[in-house]
Amino acid sequence: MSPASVPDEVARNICLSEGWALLGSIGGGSFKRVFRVQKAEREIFALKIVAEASPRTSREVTALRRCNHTNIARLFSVGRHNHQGTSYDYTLEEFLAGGTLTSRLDGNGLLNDEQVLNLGESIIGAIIHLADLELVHRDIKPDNIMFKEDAVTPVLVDFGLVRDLADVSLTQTWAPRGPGTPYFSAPEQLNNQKHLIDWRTDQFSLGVVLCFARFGFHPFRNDTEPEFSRSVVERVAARGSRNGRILGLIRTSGLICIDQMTRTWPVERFLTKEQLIRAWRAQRN
Amino acid sequence: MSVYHQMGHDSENLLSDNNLSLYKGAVMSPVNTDEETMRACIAIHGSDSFEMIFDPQLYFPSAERGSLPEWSYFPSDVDTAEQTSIRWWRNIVIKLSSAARRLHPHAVCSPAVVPRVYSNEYYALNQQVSYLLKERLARHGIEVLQTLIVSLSDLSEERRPAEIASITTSSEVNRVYLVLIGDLAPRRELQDPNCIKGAMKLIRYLSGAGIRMLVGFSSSDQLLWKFAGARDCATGKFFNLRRFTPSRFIEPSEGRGQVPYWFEESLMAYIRESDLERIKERDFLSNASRSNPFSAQILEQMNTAPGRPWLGLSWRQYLYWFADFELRFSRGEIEADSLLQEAEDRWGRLEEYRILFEERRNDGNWLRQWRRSLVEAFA
Repeated sequence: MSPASVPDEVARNICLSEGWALLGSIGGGSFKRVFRVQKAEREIFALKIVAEASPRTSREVTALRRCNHTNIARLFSVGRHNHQGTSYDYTLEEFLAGGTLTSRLDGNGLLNDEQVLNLGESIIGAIIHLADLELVHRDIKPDNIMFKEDAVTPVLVDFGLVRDLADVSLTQTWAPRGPGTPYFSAPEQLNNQKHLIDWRTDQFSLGVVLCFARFGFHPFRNDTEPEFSRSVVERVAARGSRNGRILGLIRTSGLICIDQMTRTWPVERFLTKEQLIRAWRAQRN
Repeated sequence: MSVYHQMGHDSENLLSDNNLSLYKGAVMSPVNTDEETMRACIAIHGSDSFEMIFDPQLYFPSAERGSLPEWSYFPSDVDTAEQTSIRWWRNIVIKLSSAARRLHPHAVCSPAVVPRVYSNEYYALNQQVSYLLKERLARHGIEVLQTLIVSLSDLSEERRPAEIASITTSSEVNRVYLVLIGDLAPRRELQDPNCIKGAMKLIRYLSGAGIRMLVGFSSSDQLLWKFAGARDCATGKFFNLRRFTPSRFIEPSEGRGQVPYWFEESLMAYIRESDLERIKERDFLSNASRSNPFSAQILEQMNTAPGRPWLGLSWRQYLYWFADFELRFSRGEIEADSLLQEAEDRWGRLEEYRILFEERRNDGNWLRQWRRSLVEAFA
C-alpha cells in the first residue's frame, strides 16, 4: 500500500474524532503514513495510519504493546477508522523529535567511538528486551533508529517486520528472500533460512549499522564498490568475506565487538544476550 | 576435559573398576534395566566427582528395545503418533522429567529420534524439546544436555555444520550430547574425509561458542573430536568395534560369538590376538600399551594360559586406553597429527616386515584420511 493510499482527510477525521490537533505529515513507508499530532500542550505524538491492515500490522501492534523499554518506541493507543468504504488502522506512538540516525549521519557525519558505544549499548538493550519477549525486529537500519528530543537517546522504531518466534511465520518458505531491508539484513534473512532467524539476526544488522555509523562502510563492501551496491547484499547472502581494511579498523578500534556481531553464521556471533552486553560494555575499558 | 562410560548391557561392574578411575561419569541407558535398578545404580555410583547422565534412548522408539517400552516416559502411541508435533514431545518431556526427578541423575539428555531426513525443521524441533525439558528440570537441579543427532553424510555438505550449529544454539544451551550416525560396518573406521571434517567443524562451531560438548558413542576417533574441541567423549565396552551404524543401538548379547581385540595406539587400530603376537615380537607395542594394566594382564594370560578367552580384559584394555589417551591429550602431551603420522609410518613398516593382519581391511588406510581431515578441517 503506498503512502498516497492514506489521504490527509483520514488523518484529519481521526484527529477530529479523538480530539487531537493535526500538526502535519512527517512521512510514510510502503505500508503506512505518519503524522504529527498534539493531544495537549507540549504533548506531541506520532500518528501512524495504515490502510487495510495486514497480519503484519497486527503483529506490529501486538509486539509493541508487549514492549516496555526506553529505547523502543512507545505505543499509547490503537484504533480503527472507516472512510469511504476503506478501513484504516492507526496507532498513537511516541513522537521522536531528534530525527533518524540517517539524517544524523547525513548532517553531522560519522559518529565517534564514544557515540557509537552509547548508541550500541542502547540498541543492544532494545534487542535484548525484544529477545526476552521472543521477538526479532528484522529491520534494524539507520532509518529505523530515531532519537528523542534530547538528541542523544536512540529509539528503535518501525516494527512492521517484527517476527514473533512463538508464532507461525508469515514468510513462505518458497520465497527466495525473507523480509527486511537487504542492505542491512543478515545472511539468514537474505536466504530466507527461517530456522536460523533469532535475536542474533538483529545482532548482525545492528553490527552493520554501527560499522556504517562509525566507519561509513558496510563491513562487506569492497573499497572500490559504490555505497549501497547490490554486490554487497549478494556477498552477504553468499556468506562471503568482509572488507579486510574495515575489519582491521574494527579490530584496532575500541569497537571489536562489531567483528563478532557481523559474522555470517549465527553460531559465530555472540551466543547469549549477556555475553553481548558484557562484551560491548567492556569496550569502554 | 573428561571421559564418560557409555553404559550398555551389563556394564555396571566397570564403574567400580579401580583401574578405570579416570572416567568422570557415565551415560546411563534404560534399555537393559528398569527404573528401580537405575535409581539404585545412580545412588551408588553418582557423586560430586562422578557425574551420572541419563540418556532416554528414544533414537528408534518404534523398535523392540529391551526394557525401554516399560519406562514411564516411553510413548505408547509411538507407531501412530505424529512425531513432528511439539505437543507429542511435550507429553514425553513431562513424563521424562517426572522419571528424572525420581532417578535424580546429575543430568539428562533431551529425547530425540533418529529421523528419516535430517532437515532444519528436525533440528529446530529438537532444540525446542530440549528447551522444554530444561525448563522443567532447572528448578530440580538436574542439568539438561541437548541431544544432537547428526548424519555424517549430511555433514559432508560444506555449509551444513554451521547451519546445524546455528539452529542448535538458537536458544541458550550450555551442553550438547552429540550422536553421530553413519552406515559404517562393524570393525571399520571412518574413511570419508568430508564427513569427518564436517563433524569436526560442527564440534568446533559449538565448542567455539562456549558449549560443553559430549561426543557419545566414541571410539578411537576420539582423537578427531578432541582435536576439534570436544571437551568430553563417551565410550563403552562395545564401541571398540561398533561405531556409527544404527545397529550399534541394539545391544549385543554378552560375550556370545565375540572375538577379543587389543587396541594398539602405535597403529591406532584394533588388532586380534594373532596380530598382537606378530607385532610384539617386532617391538611395535606403544608406551601407552605397555603402561596399560590390562595389557599386562592380557599378555601374561596369553603366556601362562594360552587359548583362555580374554574378552572382558580386551574391553578394559580399550577403556583404559580411551581414558589415558584423553588425559594425555588434554595435558598437551599428544600432538594429534604426529601421532597419526607415526602410526601411518608403522603400518608401512608392517608391510616391509611382511606382517599381514588377519582382517584384510585392517590395513591402516584410514589414517591418511584422518590426517587429511586434521590438516584441512580448519585450514
